Amino acid sequence: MMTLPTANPARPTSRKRPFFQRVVKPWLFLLPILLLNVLVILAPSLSAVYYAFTDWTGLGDARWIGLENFRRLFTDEIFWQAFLNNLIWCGLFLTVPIAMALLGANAMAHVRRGQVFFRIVYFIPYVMASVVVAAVWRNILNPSIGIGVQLANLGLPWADIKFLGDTRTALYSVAFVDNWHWWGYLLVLYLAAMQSVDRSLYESARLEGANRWQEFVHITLPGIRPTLVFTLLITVIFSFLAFDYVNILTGGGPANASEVLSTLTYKAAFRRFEAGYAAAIGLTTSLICMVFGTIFVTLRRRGMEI
Amino acid sequence: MKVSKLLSIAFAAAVVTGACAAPPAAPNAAPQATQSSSATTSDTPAPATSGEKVKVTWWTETAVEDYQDKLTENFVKTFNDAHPNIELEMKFVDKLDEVLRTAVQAGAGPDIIQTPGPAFVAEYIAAGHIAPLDEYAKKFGWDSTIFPWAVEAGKLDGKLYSLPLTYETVVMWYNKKTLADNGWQVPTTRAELEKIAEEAKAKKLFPFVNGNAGWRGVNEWMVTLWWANYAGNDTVYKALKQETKWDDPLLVESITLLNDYMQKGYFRGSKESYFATDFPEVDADLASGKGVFDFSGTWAFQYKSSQFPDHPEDWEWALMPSLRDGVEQSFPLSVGSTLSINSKARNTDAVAEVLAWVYGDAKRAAKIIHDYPGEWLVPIDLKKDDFPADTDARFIRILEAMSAASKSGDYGYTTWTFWPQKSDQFIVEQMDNVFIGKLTPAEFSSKLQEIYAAEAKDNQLPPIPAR
Repeated sequence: MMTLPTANPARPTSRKRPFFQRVVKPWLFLLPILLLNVLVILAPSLSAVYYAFTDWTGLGDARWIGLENFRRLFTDEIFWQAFLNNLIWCGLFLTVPIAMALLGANAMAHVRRGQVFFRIVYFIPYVMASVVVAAVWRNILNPSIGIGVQLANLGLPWADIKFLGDTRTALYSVAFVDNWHWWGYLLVLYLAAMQSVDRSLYESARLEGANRWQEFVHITLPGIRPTLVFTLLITVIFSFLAFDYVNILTGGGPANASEVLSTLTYKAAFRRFEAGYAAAIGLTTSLICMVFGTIFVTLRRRGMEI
Repeated sequence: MKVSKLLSIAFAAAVVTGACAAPPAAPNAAPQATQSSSATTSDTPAPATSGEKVKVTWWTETAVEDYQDKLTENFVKTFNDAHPNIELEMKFVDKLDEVLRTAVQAGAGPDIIQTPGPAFVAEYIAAGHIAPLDEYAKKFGWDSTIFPWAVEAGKLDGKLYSLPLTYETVVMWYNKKTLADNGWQVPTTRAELEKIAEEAKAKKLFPFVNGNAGWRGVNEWMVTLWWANYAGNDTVYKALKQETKWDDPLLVESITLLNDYMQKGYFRGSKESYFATDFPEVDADLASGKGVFDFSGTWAFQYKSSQFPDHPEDWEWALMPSLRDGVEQSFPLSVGSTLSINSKARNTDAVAEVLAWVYGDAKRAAKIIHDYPGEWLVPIDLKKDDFPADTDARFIRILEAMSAASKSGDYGYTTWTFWPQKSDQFIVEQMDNVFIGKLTPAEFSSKLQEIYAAEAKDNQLPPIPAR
């Protein structure tokens, strides 16, 4: 007589799996990366919080000074200059590269042949080392041999701008270079998101007589909203962490014209032996980023589709 | 697992990680270091009595590969050959100051601590990371071998903590061909300098090729020169000793004159060009004759062969002209790098042997200078005969002149050696604001005075050798 197969009593169901399998085992898989993060992120972060309240020089013992670093921060002109520059930077990166990438991706989404070529071309600057990109642009913007003086020689004297040496243009010039490497990355993200939008929506819209712009505003943008909002969030956070291009191209100068919070932190820690003060600047920067992150998470929790 | 539990575990792990790290240096480690010296030598048998090799580690600045190889051959190899029981390991480290500071704080630094100057050593001393050298100074006779002002620069509260690895000065480099083509003589006075500058401008040449995009510290080279050659070294000395203030009229006028030159476009035509120009263009413009004078330091010797590859005979140096009647031209001197013994070094006697090797033989020091010009100018009395026969005569001439200035006491003060850290950084960072008109020279000087006075109050002034 055949017997019907029954559940093997020795093999636990998911509900009855032992504690080790259910709880401990997954954590064991996570443990290596968790330990690594504790070591290189959490521990330094916690120590930075502590040092922000000390007069630590970066060497030796630290002395607790309470809120003194933060009091100083709020009266430090250069800090406010750097903070303002970060806000300008953020404003630039929330508009220029995102607009370029959206328009570029939208145009490319309709390209049937050669799309891969354009993707690669636009993406290459993103994967190039920042020192290489900066070195190239430093020559292009050079006051003696760069584009400004060349245009002036061609009869456009107003174009003879010392891009990186003029306090009015230094920040924008560095942002331009950073944008040049960044927008291609956004373009690839948006393009991928656009390709997942339901094509039937476009067909319906066209039957209803919608033009390209209306398709873009009413179908494409809502269709890629999660990607768009995510890139807006990382743009804000990255804007407050901007360091490499500023440090390489201007070092925050001239006269702090392109100073941002991260270069200020670096100088305080490594040039002026004020590691405690640098930690206070770093902590403040983290709090600013956290505010934006919290807004993002809160909006999601409240049901916004982002 | 709840998030709170997870955070607790993470925090505990962080605490454990911190606890496992090297313990912080005892605040009084430095004063105890002499005892530690004898203690460690008993813990680790002295090289002479032990069959085991003692390893000494030294991290130094990176250089081009050829210079690194020659330094290894001339210094590390000769030392190791002469000391069979000690093994010196020299590592060339990029961004040495930052890497070293972190490593030393973590208790993982090398036995020899090399810093960019005395102001940097002061921070290590305060943190207890440096062992005093007085006993070794007596043993090896460093007080009589090394120029006294350079030894003094390594003292704090009467104790010797660092030795000068290299000394420097800032001079006026020029291209002989450029001067000859334009019928100019080397200027020695302000009037002569300004005459050439105006004529150069009229010919669309840069009177001064300098730019500070590559290193904002170029500002302090200029401030050093203008103070020394306008206000004069005596006035600067008095300000350093707090016998006058940094807003003394002569010192303010020095900054005013420097700013006037900037506004007149003497520096590359405009302040914007000065702010945006890096060293390669500075070097190229001097060599090509596009610019006339370059105010820079003796460290630039290492670049001259690549700067003037086709006409190496064209470059020359001169002292900065006197900028005011009655002020003599002079060499502002500086200690470019310092050497100290890590208070955690396992065998300080062996480390001291390495330091002694730096100063112990004039011919060896001269050979290193010959092979690695500009960055290893040991401040000892070197004679022409000490150098290999093919050493550039211009190089020997400046070294002899610096040596003579060192012995006579007739020298000036560089900001990066004789100023405390925050005052020095203020000069570097805030001169840009003077050039763009955000700070007046008087405001700059008054703010500097405030910072300097505060650092003096905190006992952070480096020693100033008497004039």
